[in-house]
Amino acid sequence: MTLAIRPAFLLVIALGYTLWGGALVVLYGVLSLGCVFGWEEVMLGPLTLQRGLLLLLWLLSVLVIALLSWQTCAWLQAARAGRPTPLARFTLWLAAACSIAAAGATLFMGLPILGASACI
Amino acid sequence: MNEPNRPASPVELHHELTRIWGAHPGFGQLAAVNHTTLGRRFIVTAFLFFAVGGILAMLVRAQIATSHSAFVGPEIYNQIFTMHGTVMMFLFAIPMFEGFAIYLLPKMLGTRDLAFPRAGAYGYWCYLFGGSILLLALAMGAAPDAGWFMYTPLSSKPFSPGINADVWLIGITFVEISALSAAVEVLVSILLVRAPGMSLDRMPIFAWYMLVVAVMILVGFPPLILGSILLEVERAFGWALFDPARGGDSLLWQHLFWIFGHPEVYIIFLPAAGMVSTIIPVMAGRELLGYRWVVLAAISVGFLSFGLWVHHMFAVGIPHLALAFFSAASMLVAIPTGVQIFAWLGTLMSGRPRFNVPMLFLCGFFFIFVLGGLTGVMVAVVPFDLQVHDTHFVVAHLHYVLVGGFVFPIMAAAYYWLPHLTGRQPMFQLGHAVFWLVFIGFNLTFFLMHLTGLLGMPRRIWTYPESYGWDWLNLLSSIGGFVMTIGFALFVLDIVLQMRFGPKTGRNPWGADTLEWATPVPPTDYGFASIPIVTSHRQLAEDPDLPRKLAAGEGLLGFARRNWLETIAVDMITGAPRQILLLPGRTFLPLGTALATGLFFVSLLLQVYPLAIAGIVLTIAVFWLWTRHPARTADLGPLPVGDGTMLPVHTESGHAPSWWAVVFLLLADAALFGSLLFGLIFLWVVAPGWPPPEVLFNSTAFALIAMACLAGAAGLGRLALRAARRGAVGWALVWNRFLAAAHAATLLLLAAILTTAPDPTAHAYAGVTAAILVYILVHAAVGLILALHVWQACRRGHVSAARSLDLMIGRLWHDYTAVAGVIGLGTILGVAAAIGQPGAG
Amino acid sequence: MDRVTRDMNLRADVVLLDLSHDRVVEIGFLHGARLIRRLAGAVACLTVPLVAGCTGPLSTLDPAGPAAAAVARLWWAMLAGAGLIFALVMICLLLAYRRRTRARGSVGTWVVGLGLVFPTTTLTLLLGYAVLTGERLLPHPGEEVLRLDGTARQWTWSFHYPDGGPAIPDGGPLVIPVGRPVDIHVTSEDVIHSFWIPRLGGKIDALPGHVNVIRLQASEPGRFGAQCAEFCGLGHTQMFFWVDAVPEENFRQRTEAWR
Ligand code: HEM
Ligand SMILES: [Cu+2]
Ligand SMILES: [Cu+2]
Repeated sequence: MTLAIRPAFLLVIALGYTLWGGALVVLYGVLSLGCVFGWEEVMLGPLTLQRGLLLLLWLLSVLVIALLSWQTCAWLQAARAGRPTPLARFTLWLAAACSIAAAGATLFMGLPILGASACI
Repeated sequence: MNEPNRPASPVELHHELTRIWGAHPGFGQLAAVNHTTLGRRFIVTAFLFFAVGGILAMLVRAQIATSHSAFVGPEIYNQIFTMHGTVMMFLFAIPMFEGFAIYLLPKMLGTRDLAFPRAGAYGYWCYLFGGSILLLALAMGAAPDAGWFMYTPLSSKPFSPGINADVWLIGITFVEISALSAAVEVLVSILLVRAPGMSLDRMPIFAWYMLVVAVMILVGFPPLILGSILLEVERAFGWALFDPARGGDSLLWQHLFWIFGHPEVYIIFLPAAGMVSTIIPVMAGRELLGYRWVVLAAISVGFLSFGLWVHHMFAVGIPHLALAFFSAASMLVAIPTGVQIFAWLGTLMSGRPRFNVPMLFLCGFFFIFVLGGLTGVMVAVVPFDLQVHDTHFVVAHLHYVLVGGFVFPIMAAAYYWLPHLTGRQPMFQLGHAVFWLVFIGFNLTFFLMHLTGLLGMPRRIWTYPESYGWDWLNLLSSIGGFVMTIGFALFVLDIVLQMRFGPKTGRNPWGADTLEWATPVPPTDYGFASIPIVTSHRQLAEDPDLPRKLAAGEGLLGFARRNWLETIAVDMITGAPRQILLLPGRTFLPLGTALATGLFFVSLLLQVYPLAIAGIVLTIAVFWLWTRHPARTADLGPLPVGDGTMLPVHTESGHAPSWWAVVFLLLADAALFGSLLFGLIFLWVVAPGWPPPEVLFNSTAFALIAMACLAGAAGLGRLALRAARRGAVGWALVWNRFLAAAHAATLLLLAAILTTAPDPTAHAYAGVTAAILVYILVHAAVGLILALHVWQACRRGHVSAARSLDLMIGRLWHDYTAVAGVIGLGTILGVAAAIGQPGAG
Repeated sequence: MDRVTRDMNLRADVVLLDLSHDRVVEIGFLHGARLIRRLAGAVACLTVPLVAGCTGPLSTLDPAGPAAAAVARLWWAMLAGAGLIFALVMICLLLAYRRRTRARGSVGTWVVGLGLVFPTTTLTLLLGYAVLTGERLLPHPGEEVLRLDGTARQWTWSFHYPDGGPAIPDGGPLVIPVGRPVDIHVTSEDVIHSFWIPRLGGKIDALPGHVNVIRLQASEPGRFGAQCAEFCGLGHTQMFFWVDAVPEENFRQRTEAWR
């Protein structure tokens, strides 16, 4: 299989990290809003509304970027099964690696949600 | 069309091409737009600013050498350190790597020039003029004095009533035009203007780094430009934006500044890392280990660096969890940096490294930069940063990173590429002495600053009592500083000697495999007499005879056709040839445009606003003249490129470089607009003094009509383009006329809204709302100008089914304006509705 | 202190600080235990043979409270780790020039192993340590906490108790009790300043329009320097005051006395 890679594919390479950036902005934004609107005082079972929401958003964004990684890896695998040009190999690898790195970054960045105080 | 005649000999080809590509001597040099010339100018000018910054640094070190050595009071000292930081960051570091990129990239990519030579020249003049404004202010004792990050309210009118802060805001914004134009130029050139066959996986690693850097500049600089504009508007016209007493917030400035400021330090580091990645494999005698991993690391650093800005604001009172996000993100960025470091080390370990002057500086780079990176991880740790933030520990850290990560690689690069720039070899082994002086001096100066910082010495203090026990450390630091300065002086001497007296060098003295060594040295104005066809990512190593073949015109375009400046544009991914790029030659237009722009900025600075308006009008008028270059009244059709194939010229093919340039400019524009909207939301949530006393609530109808007009304009732009592509230029003219009317109507509507909007000097809500309205208004105005331009182009016969580039660019603009307008007006209406009627909040 | 720095020749001011510092040294020597700790600190600071240890009225390496002590521990731990990593890189660089035979250029070892896995592991550990330390230093609600309100203006501070009583007598130092956590709520009337008593802990910015809180505690009596850490204009250098930590009973006496 020879894959013709089009310029728009460059966007796929950037997509994972763009989602990571989105996740950071959303987490930071929700946290700030939550502290203003007192979500830290609302209990939701064992968690506060604030922390529950942050956990949810965090895991959701990790999941989305992980799915993207899975998809790009699948493309890479499919290409490897054929006889890809070095160019196709390179670009597909880069897309997969960038997505995986972005998923890892999102995971790492959210770790403090497990412990740090939300509004002090 | 037939293949043009090939010149009889390489010498004849050389003369022909030089006549076409070169600038005339004397005054004619001011018309130069060639990348080799511009690159050299950027480098030399940046080095002069480095000298200025260095002298200021020496003054700083003299002042705080001991507790008794202060020779100026805080009035002057504040100017000195502010200007030192400002000059080093904006007038040395950025222009320096831009110079290297402009000089090297076309040659590395195997092409004759960058995509927009005139924009490059315009950028250079803006840089020179903007920098001169700052230096002039320094000479007159009116230099900025609020620190290089210009925190409000210290930099606002009540606390900085003088012209000093205006000099910074206006001068730096002027200089930033050059960063943006260089970024667009570099980005489009790397993506589109390469040698045929240079697919992404064959691109030199430096180009990958610069690709990332260019995107970072486009996204990272607009927040600062916005911040500067807003702060200047607050200072000059009293709008409420950052003033906490009127619903503004000094934290908004900090966010805008650091969303720029943190990526900025990576914008400075990455080009240097690209040079390191280029030089190390050559010196190790093998390929770069893990090429694609290094590309991955560069991309990762580029993105991650946008997620750390709050680590400069750990002490402003943000909740711990938010700090921890940014602390984690700051640690993350160390990982791709580690990947690069170990890729370089692995390359060295598995090769047979030579030991010479460039390598010596790279060893110095490893030593210093790694230390800086390690202290960087330390200050990413929140509790530790809260202790050392704003102390000399941070001064030490930032210099370890900037000098280690930028100055040392640049000196390695200087020694490495000097034979290329000058065509000469080094004369004496002064390089070793330079290295040891700078290296020892640097460490003496800055290593000790970690300790002064830990002992509690804050940054930006002009003196201190003897009893604190800081005297010894500071004295040694200052001595180190002077040792380092001697080293830099020797560096200048070494380079001058090499330029004047060095023996001639042969081609490719280091045995490198990148294409810049396939040009003649010193390089000619046209770079390559003919364009190589790339089949490998180590082209030069595999075909050592390539330089001779190219000079003999055996590559593509090895002829001088109709006095055109031609090069080839390719497919972004595969590098397959797509278009012939017709470049503009020597012209005074960039200089003229920069002078007109300068008139605008200087009048703003001196508060002569009528003249500022004249400056804008003049700038637009001169820009209008730029469009005369590629304009033609007849189609050329596909032309031969020299290997039997035919390619269309760029004006007659779909997505020409200038179209892409507008795409990327709009990316920067969107970053600016996004920052503005962020500002509104941020103030609403965080700033004291909300809700505002008065909201915009009686213009809903006007706003809705304006949205409709903008959407209509976008639709009409599409209709006009479609008509032109069918060859129906008459219809295009008709649609274009409606389009102009739609934009004109928007202008009137927005002006009407603005006149009835709440007073922007009363509350930040009104201030930011007015800023959003002005933003949309400016875009509609530019849309109108584009429509006028299309009108002229159609009338003059410059538009045909093939030559519809102007309308394609117009379509992009109108689309963007419609989207931004709808979002902007929608946000204004939404926020007004949410805040409610006055008093309701 | 309010007025000490105002309207005065700034140069003379520094001398004034100088003089008052001599007293600090005397106070310092009254406490034998502290002297020993200082000596221990000096040994730890052998990297600075020219400086008499890590002491000084603003030294972060001479902690006098739990927050500063935690940060100092963090620093020494990170210094050790950084030293090891730095040595690793330098050894690699040296080996590159020393080795007779070439190493295998394996992406797996170099880029993935050393470049990716190694820093990721180290940084995860560091992040945990950092966040846990940070948590301990936060102004969590508590009963024993003394509250103070601080207001900064160019270029002085004024401090009040929540009931409005001034916490600094005329010209005197800010007094806090030893062993009791103090929450200082800071704000500013003009530009940004930063409240910082290095020997007690980190800093917090005083921003116009916002109130920020920092928790500090002195674990031993003494006199500590406090320096404005955010550049705030011409008088930034001189925006300095002293803090006296005194035992609880003295604290009560002294604060009663000004009321
Ligand atoms: C050539 C040797 C250099 C020396 C001796 C030096 C010295 C200093 C010193 C002592 C300060 C602290 C001033 C203070 O806090 O009062 C400082 C600040 C600074 N330096 Fe340098 N520097 C040098 C080179 C550089 C370079 C190459 C860069 C950037 C590329 C740079 C960027 C800065 C910045 C951004 C600041 C902060 C300015 C501020 O606080 O507003 N310096 N430098
Ligand atoms: Cu940063
Ligand atoms: Cu202050």
